[in-house]
Amino acid sequence: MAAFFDLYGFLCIMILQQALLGYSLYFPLMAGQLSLASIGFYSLGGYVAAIMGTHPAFEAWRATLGWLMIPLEWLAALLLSVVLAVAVGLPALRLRGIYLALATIAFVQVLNVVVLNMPIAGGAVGIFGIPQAFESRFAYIWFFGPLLLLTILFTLRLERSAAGRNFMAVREDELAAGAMGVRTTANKVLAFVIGCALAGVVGAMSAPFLNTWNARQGTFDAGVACLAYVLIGGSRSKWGPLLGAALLVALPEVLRPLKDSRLILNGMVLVLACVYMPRGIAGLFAGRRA
Amino acid sequence: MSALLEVRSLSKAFGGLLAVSDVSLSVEQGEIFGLIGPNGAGKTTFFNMLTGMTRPTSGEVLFAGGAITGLRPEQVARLGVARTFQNIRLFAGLSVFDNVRIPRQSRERSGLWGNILGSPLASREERETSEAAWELLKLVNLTDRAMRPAGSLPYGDRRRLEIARALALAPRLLLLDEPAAGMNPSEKAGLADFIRQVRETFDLTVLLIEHNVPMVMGLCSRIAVLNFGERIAMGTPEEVQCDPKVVEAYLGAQKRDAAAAGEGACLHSTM
Repeated sequence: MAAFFDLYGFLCIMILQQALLGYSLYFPLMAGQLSLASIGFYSLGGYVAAIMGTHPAFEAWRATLGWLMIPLEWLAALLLSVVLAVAVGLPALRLRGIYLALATIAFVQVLNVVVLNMPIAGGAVGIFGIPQAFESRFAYIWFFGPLLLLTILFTLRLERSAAGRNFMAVREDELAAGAMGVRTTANKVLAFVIGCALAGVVGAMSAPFLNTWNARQGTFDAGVACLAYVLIGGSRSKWGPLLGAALLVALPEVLRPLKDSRLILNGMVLVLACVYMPRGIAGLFAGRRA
Repeated sequence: MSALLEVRSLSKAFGGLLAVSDVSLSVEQGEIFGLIGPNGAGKTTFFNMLTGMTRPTSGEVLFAGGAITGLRPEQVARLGVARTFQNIRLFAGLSVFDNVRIPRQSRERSGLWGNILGSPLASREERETSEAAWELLKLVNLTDRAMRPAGSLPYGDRRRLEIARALALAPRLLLLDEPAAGMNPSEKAGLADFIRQVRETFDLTVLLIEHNVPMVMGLCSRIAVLNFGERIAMGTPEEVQCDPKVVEAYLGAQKRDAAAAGEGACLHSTM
């Protein structure tokens, strides 16, 4: 068992972390909004934690607060993400479908360029030597595990409540939702902000986990990967992001004995999954039950 | 009786096309008012302007004495104006039950965190909404299929569900956009009875768009006729059905001349 965690402990944590990023896109999708902004907020949250963890200006804080600095970093990332998500969401959510996706991609690119040019964020090199919260990598399960559990509980409650039904009404038919008294704009912004806030906190947790933080954390590729977790896992199921992340993060490792051809197989699995499982992995289980 | 809905010189231009031109009418509290007209007469555009989905080019809409022109759809809905759509727009992927619960939620006061954490207020509101929704499903005989996706219902049931969903807003004014479209004569008769029953039970005012002239004649106390965006006639069914302009719009100029000469060329009022 110990040998397994030595080998795959990092991978397990990665699955939890990536699943959380999947959930951050699941919420806007619940209200029918295709956003790729999460990765930007993830990157932002990471920078908040990295700066608060390493910058000399926070030296006195770190000395006084000790380990309490870590939850404070999460809180700072959360608040900053919420403020920025409202500011971005209000104008962007006037766009629909693919145009919203494009606008959020543009937002992530702008954010990256801004960060690259901010001296405090360390430019292209980024920030390294971020203090570790734990001795072992696997211990980070105490960060991502409870957050994932809370996120899933939140999702369960949301789906069975009036708030969740409002989201889904907007997803099903925005025009009809408005005619039935649902505040469409407010609900879209709310769903977007929930996702962005989650991504920000995940970023803040990931900075110590990964030890370094730079602009490569918030690339377009990484953003699309998050969307892939939701789509492959099943965008209509609360288990979708977790299943999708488990498959897509583990797949390259499982296929490692195949050496370079594993990338081809990895791509093929994705394509086949899209064609034969339009409702994702979760959809297969739902189909069995029905 | 006083006017619940008053429309003053409402116009809508799409580029050079005048879809609705200077239409005024008032709907009295408690009546069933019909809006008829040939295809493309501007009836649906008129509805869309009443419900905030299309911004009028000019004119004014008063509901219960207050201006609702330029309000967003959800604001109009929350004031008590509910509608159905010509091409049924249910929340097809959600359950029949959820379709009827969603409109009533607009009056709930509990927020996101109350919902998630299950505050006493949120729990009570959830219970009240579910009970009210269930009563409406009983009214339209859909309780046995309450948990099925709305999109899986047969056509007639979808129409009735859409009316039930509109009623879930507890509206004062119900706008029905061609509720009998695609129904056979006996279904239409059943629908007319249902509309009368609903109006009595919920103390509603109904404004109804309908292609089907006999149904409107039998159901409505007053009728306005639109043609090419203009209101060409308004009055009781008897007054409207022999109006030469109305006869022309529906049946052509030849019949109009016959109507003008008093030769009994009227729109038929039997189904």
